[in-house]
Amino acid sequence: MQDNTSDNLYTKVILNGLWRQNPALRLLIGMCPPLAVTTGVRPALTMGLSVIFVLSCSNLVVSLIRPFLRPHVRIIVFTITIATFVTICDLLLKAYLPAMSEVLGPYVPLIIVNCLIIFRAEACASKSPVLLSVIDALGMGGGFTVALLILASIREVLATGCWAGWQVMPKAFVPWLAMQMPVGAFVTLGLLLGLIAMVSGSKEARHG
Amino acid sequence: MSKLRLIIQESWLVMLAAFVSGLLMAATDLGLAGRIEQNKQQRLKELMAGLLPQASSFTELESRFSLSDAKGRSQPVVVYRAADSQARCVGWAFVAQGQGFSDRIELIVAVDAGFTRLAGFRVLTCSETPGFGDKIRQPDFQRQFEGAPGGGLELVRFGDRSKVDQQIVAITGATVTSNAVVEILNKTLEGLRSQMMEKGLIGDAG
Repeated sequence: MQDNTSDNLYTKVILNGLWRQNPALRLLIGMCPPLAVTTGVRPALTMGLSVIFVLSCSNLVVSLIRPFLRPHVRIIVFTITIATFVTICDLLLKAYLPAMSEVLGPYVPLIIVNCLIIFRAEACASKSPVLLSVIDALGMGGGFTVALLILASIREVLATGCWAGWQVMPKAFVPWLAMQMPVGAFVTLGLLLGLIAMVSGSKEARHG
Repeated sequence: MSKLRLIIQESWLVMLAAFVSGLLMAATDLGLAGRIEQNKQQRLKELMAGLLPQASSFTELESRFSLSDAKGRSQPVVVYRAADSQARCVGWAFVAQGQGFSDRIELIVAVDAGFTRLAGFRVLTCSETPGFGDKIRQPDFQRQFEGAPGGGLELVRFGDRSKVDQQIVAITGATVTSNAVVEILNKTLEGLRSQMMEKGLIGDAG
């Protein structure tokens, strides 16, 4: 009976990150990567996986040390923890995916100041057991990655006619160069947020 | 004494976190630094080999070169000597950098053995506007430099890109970036040529 309750809780936490509190599409936090690295599906996926790695590691560590955290030093401890894993992630990308590391440029080190990571450390990991904190990281990181992939798919297909490098539009398709520029990111994100608000609004109306 | 104890009591976790963090980062860096450096050298050599296909080896010169940047600070420049299979010098390659429209632009540049003609350039780092400034990566723009004079390049707005001379036709909508490339090349070529002549690496005719 208790197992069922835990399973339900974990499923709820995952779904929370993926949809109800999707960081990029519902909470609008950590908005730098959704605007900056969504020109292509491959860099977006790499960024998403990097965020999942950093978020999972930082939530794991913060949850482990939570009995020793004092209120006035917690933010600096979170920052040190996050910066460590971001630096490790950046070095791993430089060593094993050098071309992708170059495409992502400064946006990987910038994960340090992505408020999603510190938000989850503060709101979840510093108050929850280890397993729940890691599952929360997977849900939130997964939701963030899905948002990046949706944005990147729309922008890459319209800007180049390709998806992850594969040609998907007919040869006659005229690329919309604007989609590769910052304006393309803002317009796509705005339309996507509007669509999500419409869908969730009608859902809420149906359920009263 | 009690003050010291209070400080330790309140901040031991920060000190421990900083220490462990430093250890972890140092260990990762130690483990991966070799591979990262190898990747960098590999990429540089691939680009240089593309620019000077007749070269079979590239050797970093022991002599040190430096150029002053926009703020007057001296920046070191590494120069590679390209040699063919009989160890004859077939050209030189180096990294040139300068300010572009949105950020710094880094180029790998190759010139002939006498430092008189450009063999071309490739882009190492560029964060210029997609669709405009980043067109400096396109062969159509880069081909204008392949065989162009090794200095005194000038930017023009209109012209024939297939004609290789000192006139470089700008990218439409990216005049600032095009101008940055021309200025980076002119400044680096001029600065390096005089230093290499001083060191006797190239002749006066160069």
